[in-house]
Amino acid sequence: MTSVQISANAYKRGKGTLVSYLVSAPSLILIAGVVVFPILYTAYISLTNMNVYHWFNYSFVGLVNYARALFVFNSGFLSALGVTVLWTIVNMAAQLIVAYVMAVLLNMPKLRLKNLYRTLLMFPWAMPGYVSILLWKTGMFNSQFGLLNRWMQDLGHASVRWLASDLGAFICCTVVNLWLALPFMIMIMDGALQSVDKSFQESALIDGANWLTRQTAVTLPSIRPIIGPAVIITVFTTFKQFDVVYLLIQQTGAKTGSHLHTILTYAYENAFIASNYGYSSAISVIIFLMLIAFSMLTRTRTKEGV
Amino acid sequence: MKRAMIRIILLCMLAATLTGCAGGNSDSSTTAPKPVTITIWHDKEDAVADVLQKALDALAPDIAVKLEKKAGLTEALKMVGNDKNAAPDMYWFAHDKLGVYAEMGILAPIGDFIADEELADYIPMTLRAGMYKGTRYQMPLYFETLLFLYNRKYMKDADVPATTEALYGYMKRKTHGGHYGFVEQHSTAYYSAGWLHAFGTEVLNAQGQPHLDDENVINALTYHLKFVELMPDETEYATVNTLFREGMAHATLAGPWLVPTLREAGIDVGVAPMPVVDETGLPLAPYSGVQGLHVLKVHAREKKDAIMKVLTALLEPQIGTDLALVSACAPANGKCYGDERITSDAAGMEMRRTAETAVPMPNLPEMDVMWTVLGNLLTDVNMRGQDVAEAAAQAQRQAAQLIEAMR
Amino acid sequence: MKLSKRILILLLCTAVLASVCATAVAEEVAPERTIVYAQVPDDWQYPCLWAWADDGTSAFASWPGEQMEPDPANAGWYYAYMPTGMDAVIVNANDGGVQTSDYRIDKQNAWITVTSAEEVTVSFEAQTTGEAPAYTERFTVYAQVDPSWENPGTWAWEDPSGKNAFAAWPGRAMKPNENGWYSARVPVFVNSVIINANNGGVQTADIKELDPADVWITVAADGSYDFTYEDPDMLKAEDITVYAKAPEGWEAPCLWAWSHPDGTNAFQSWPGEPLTFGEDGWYSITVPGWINSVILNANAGTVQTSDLSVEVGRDIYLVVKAADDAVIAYEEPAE
Repeated sequence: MTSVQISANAYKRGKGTLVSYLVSAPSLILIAGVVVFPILYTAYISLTNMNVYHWFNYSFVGLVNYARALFVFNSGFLSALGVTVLWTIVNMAAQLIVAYVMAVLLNMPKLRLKNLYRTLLMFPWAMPGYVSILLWKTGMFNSQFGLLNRWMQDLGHASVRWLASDLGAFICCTVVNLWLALPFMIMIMDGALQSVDKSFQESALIDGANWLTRQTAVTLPSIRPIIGPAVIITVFTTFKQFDVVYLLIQQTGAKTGSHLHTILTYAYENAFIASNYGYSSAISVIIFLMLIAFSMLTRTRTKEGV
Repeated sequence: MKRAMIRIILLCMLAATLTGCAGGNSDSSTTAPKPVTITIWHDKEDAVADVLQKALDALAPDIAVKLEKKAGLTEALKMVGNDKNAAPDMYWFAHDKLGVYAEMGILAPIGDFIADEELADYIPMTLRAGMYKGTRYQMPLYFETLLFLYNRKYMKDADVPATTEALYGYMKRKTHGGHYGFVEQHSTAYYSAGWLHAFGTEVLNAQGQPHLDDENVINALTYHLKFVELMPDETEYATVNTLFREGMAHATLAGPWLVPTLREAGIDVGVAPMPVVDETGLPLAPYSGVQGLHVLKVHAREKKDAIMKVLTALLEPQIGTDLALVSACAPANGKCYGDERITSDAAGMEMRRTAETAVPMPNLPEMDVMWTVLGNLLTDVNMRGQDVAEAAAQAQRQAAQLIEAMR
Repeated sequence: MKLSKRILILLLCTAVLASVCATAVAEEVAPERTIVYAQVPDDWQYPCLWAWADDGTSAFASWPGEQMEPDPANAGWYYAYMPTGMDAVIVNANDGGVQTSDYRIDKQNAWITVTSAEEVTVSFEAQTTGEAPAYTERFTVYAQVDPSWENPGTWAWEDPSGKNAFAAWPGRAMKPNENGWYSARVPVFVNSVIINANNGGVQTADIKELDPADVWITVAADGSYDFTYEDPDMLKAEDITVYAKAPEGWEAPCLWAWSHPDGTNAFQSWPGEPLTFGEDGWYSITVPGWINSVILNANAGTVQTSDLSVEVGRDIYLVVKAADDAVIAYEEPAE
């Protein structure tokens, strides 16, 4: 190959790269505007004193807000962080187990009305999350009118304040989060199970593997690469879950007595309501960095796993 | 060939995106004189807004008033309150947010358009509500306070408790078998503040400093606790109002907006004055919310005459009366109380009487954080059984920290 | 003179203050009412009045209607008020076990003499003496008593005025209901009751501070009691399924279900809820477990069975061959 040919190929490659970027530009601009710009702007605001008293005349204050933010990260924040990690682990484990069992049941060969069940299981997705959460709060957990206490009365027991204790609130929040999150996980698991080559199962069956062995040795390794991204996405949505905990137990004017907080509800109650945008932005950036670190950790683990 | 086509399409999309950003700037100048347009943002129901719209349509053709319903009005004002192209000329909202906007510097004083003497007939409480750091920023229209409502099927007029001890005795006698003598949103700041006021204390002083660890706050919360023990465990709006609407509670504290719903549910509802706390001799003094118009600074100078005419038109008692009736509230203008339609409205008249003792919701920016802090304090005391003094000290620390964080 | 003026001013101030202190938001306009009297045979226990207008409006929420009160001034006569505008009535008794045919009263006060279910005289001229008892709104006192308490009754009054609801102790005999509870209707001025039994031989203490709302009182053998304003049976019952087979020509069958005799309906309005046709050949619907009466209807309520009593809390298999031919079973019948 001569030098002229090489430079011609390089020119062609360079031209191709340029065209690729050019045609991707609309999407890249859109992503930059919707995703990157707000993050950068938040980082910028976090370095200013933008608040009610300096709304239009805010100025650069350096890392002052970050220094103040450390006061929020006190023992209350650390306990909220612990709750958030526990919340994420418990929810993920429950989601994976329940969704896997449901998906396996949906894929049983002799099951009738499969599509009907699939549609019904998607139902929680069809309802706005806000409505679902408040329905659970008033319809199920309410100590006066809730269904759970109706059942308690039927069984001759006294009414229970389900959302009043931290443990009770944690369990109730987990149940509601499961209700909201399971459709996604079931759908992914269901799809993954359908993609598993049946011949593997049949070979394992011929080799004398029982049901449990077939699941652990054939099915699970086969679906792992497919459900991996879904699990990562769900870990993050669970970690930064705000609606369920806030609406169920921490909503202003409708508190239940529980002190359960995740990092987001804690930050909301101890910083965001102050309408100090510089200060709140600093806290958001710190939480964002935590999530990035968590993400890198999870990705490393996933890669190792695969 | 296929690749070339795709490239062309994508390049067209890029071009469209870029040209779309440029935006049209057509010149539609016209020589014909135009009426001055006054845009008023609000968040009211259509029926209520229509009353004001019709009243202000009388200013046409010189002034065209345009009422615009705005979702998320308070946040929208923060975003565009000083933007000449996006901000409205006025907004119609409760008084409690005006301190924030005044501090942001987007409000114009009402005194620039209407002299204080013009408001001489207005109920003093409604005028106090619109003042921030000595300047008036609101033209009041109507107001609401909580009311002591009772179900006349259960509580006879003669049995309505005049004092809190009488109320407590009534609750002890009547709370049994799933029925309650009295229910309220006991751990919600807006609904329970009346108990603090009846002990001569407030959550914030005029300088915006919290004093939740004040002795009177502790006394009020301690006294209130024995009433809470005879109420349901829940403090939220839906549960408390459902108990009253379904005939499971004899009496409650609720806003006037609930009265039409109660009538529809067949409740023979009575309205009575707030009971007086025996220990202090003061009645429960609920918060009041005063709805009115606020002028934004951004167009205040260029549209001064038009704004003045709009505000002057609102001095007409007829408008105040119509607005109060359609919104189930009480008029701010004292002249409206000469109208038989107002004097025959028992709920409105009771709010008028309560206005003598009611406390306008603080309009200080610091109040934004106090709603949450006071709510937490009430929850800790009433629903978690925490020691009152300890919880109050903790709340005071949180309030001080959050107020510090605002600056 | 001065003193009398002062007293007058004081009285006026008090009156003004009283009107200010407790103001009713809405004055309820009392609806006009019509009275129906009935004289029934001795074996017709606890007679009830069922009434309706030609436009289909029923005077009372559910069959068998309003329990009639004995008229203290006219022995043997019972009376019940109903909203004016009703065109026809049925008098029934024994939990709806006996009843007259439909009788038109055309929106007038009526006196009905029932000699037997078939032999009935309706008069629009007063057959009783004296003024009709004033209309009083009522609520129901339910009692569940220890088995040693026989023939329970209730004595009711207003405390502290001492105004009694019934003429003489031990008061009104309570009606036994299928679910084991006894019941009696009392006027809304009542805020205190005593449950007694064995001809007044045993009784509870005064049960005071009652609200004028349906109340369920549980009484132990020693007379101790507790009460609630929520129907305890309503809480306990789990949902049941009603399976039905309808005759040909019965399109889109619906079920109407209720609890007798308190009259609580399972559904909002007639003809009730449609049943779903299943692959097993049965129509079915889930209803609250506390219902004890059903009607199967079809063709938008134009064809229907009679009232069918069913056991509480059990799935029901209802085979309807014609409007007047329905068989109830609690296990799926063999074909």
